[in-house]
Amino acid sequence: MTQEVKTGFKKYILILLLSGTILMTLCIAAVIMVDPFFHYHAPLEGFPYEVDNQLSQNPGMARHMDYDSVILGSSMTVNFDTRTFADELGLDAIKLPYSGAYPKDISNIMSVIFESHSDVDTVFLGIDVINYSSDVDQIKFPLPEYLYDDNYVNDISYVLNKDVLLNYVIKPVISPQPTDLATVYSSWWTDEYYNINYVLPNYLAEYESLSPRPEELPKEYFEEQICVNMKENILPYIEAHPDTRFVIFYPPYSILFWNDCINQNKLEATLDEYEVISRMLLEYDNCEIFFFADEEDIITDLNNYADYTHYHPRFNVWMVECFADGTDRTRDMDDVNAHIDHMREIATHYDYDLLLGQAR
Amino acid sequence: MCIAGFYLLAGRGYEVAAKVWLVAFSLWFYGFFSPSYLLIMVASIVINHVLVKMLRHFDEKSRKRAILITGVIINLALLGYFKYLDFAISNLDLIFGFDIPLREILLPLGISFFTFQQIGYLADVYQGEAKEVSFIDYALFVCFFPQLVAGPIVSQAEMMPQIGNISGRKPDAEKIGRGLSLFILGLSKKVLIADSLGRAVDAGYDIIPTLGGLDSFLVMLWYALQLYFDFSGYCDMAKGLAGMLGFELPVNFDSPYKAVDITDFWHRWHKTLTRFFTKYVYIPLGGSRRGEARTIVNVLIVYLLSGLWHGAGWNFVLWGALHGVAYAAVRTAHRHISTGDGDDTPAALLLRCVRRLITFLYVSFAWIYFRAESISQANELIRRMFTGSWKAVNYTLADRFADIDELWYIVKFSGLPGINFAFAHNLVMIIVTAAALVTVFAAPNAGQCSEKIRPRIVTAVALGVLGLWCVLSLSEVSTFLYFNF
Repeated sequence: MTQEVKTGFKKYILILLLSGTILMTLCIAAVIMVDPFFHYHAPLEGFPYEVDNQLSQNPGMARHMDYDSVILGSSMTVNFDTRTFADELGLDAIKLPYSGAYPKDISNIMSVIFESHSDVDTVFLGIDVINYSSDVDQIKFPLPEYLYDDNYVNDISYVLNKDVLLNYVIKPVISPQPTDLATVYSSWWTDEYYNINYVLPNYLAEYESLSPRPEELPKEYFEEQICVNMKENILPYIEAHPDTRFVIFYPPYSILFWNDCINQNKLEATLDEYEVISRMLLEYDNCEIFFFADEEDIITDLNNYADYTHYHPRFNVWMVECFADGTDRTRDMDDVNAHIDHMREIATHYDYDLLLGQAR
Repeated sequence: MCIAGFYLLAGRGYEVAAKVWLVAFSLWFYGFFSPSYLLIMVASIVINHVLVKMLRHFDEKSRKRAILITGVIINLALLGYFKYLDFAISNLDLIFGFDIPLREILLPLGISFFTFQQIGYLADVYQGEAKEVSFIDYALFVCFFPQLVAGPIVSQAEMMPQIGNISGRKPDAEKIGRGLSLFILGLSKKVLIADSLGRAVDAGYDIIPTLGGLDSFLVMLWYALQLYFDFSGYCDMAKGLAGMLGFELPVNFDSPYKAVDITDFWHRWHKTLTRFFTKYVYIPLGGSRRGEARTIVNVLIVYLLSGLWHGAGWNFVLWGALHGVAYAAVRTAHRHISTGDGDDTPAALLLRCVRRLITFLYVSFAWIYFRAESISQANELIRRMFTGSWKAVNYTLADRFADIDELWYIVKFSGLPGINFAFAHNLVMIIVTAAALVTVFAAPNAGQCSEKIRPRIVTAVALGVLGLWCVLSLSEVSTFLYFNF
């Protein structure tokens, strides 16, 4: 090899590595500066942040944003408008939902919340009882761990990430469409989807593919796993933060949800889930329970729904009003059992054939 | 760090230390991906080295033969346990109605590669073709990290002399520059091309019942391209990394889709596997020395074994059979018909293009069995290709190309007023497919490119940017397809 070629390649390697390193440094700096997942700092004043990724952005929002209340739960909570919480309750709330959340998902985000905001005033938590008999460590989707832990080394997946750079740092600058945090993560269904004619055909297609469970599930079937889940994933936070008010609510699923329960022979086991969870929660003075599941006028009208469980956003507003005026609050097990009995009454006496016949 | 440490030690004449450094780094690298199986690989190296020592110790042919057979059995048993046990159990269950539960054992990374490499070494020692080497040299030969997990399957004849002359090795700017360039080109083949195509292929195999004829054809095509860019990209990275350390790995892919027939294809695709099977299976079986019929049988045996090597399933066996039959047929035809390969007349050139196309289509067709989870799934895709509609592309497939983050920028700055994203998906799909096809049929491969690279500033900056782009894309990258072979 001639000296000239040797020198040429030395320069070549140097320039290649240098150009890669300089650009890499710029990318890292841009991500850290903008910090679109709020992993390092609070949002920059005036930057048009796009917030649409619950798994990636919730932990950063929990850690670095200012708030005194949080709204947790599944897709049942995505349509809350935090302005309603300000108007009705005078709270500065933030929404941190996880679609299809299991108790472990709730636990994960609560640990982040209380680590950074130990003085949080109120936690609003929507409980989907059917998800509370899952495995204790079950989560809906794999978490980007690097955004949940304190390990700076694995942050490399965040600061050197094409998705982050293109979709959350550069794109908002070129085409700013800042997310309104008050309604962040709202569902895509527009008003016309909340219609029996949209709900029923979709429901029937799935319903008719399921074969009914031949035998009735024992009433106590889910009890043990629910207790384990509550003790592992929910109650420790309630116990550890006696000054925080935990407002727990059971969302109003449509009558189709209860049709599934009957069809799958698990009505009593499902109702028992409400009882077991409520009994455990009522042990704590800082816990309030709101039982919306048996709101007959809402749940029996499919024009209030976009599918078998997801209700129109106006009921999110209504629920906040209930939080404010105490409607549907259950203060003891007698109240809880009255709601459960009412739910059983609705579920067992409803004319499902008449309803489903409309779409057949 | 590995490269700097190696040259620091090797350049000052600390030969053993430099080798230990490379072995230690290789084991760390392997343990990083597959910590639980590090012990298995180390044990495999130690056992094989003991067998090598025993082979050298004895002079009697019969004893040497017994040791060789023992060694081959041990290596194949290891491979069999991890790779083929469940396949054997499921067949026993099916044939005899047993109810033996599957073991679902996790396959150690690269086990097919390091097992074959060691069988080859034992055979070479038995034949007296391999010189005596120290344990550290042998360990480095087996676990050298650039080629450890996905090949190429190197031979002792090409690696041992290079391992032996490490002492005094100094960094060579040209080798490092070309190696670095090849590594980046290989990485971009894997990350930017293969993974983009892979998303559409996965989507296609998930929705086979809804695919039309054109969809199925495209899924077949994309997988052929994905596999090539994936596997050859990995081999380019291996060759590039080794080059930076001053080692020369064999070329494993020589533009295989430019092959004019199936025999040509196997001289270009996974060349080191073909070399292994030729030397250690085909020739010992008699090769072509025992008449035409026996030659065909030998070819079929080799390709059935090759199918099994690639995966434990009847679909892989069928894939091997498809190649074996075609190889035997073409080989036989070559003996009787002149193909006029040296001819440069327009007619001959056209004929070569047609043969190239036919070979590519046949190979792509066979890959369907390679990719499918079962023969019936592959058959379903093929059935849809011949019975489904060819008028439009399923939007789910075109939509997978929308996962390319850069698409939004392409549409935004394309200057095409009114372009909508649905159209853009189709456009990107067509562009990516066409570009990949042109690359495999007409462009020089990455190895040739890196050899021709001139150390210019613009090339250095372009490769620096490309490398960074790959790194940025890594956070969403799937695992290498050939890791589990």
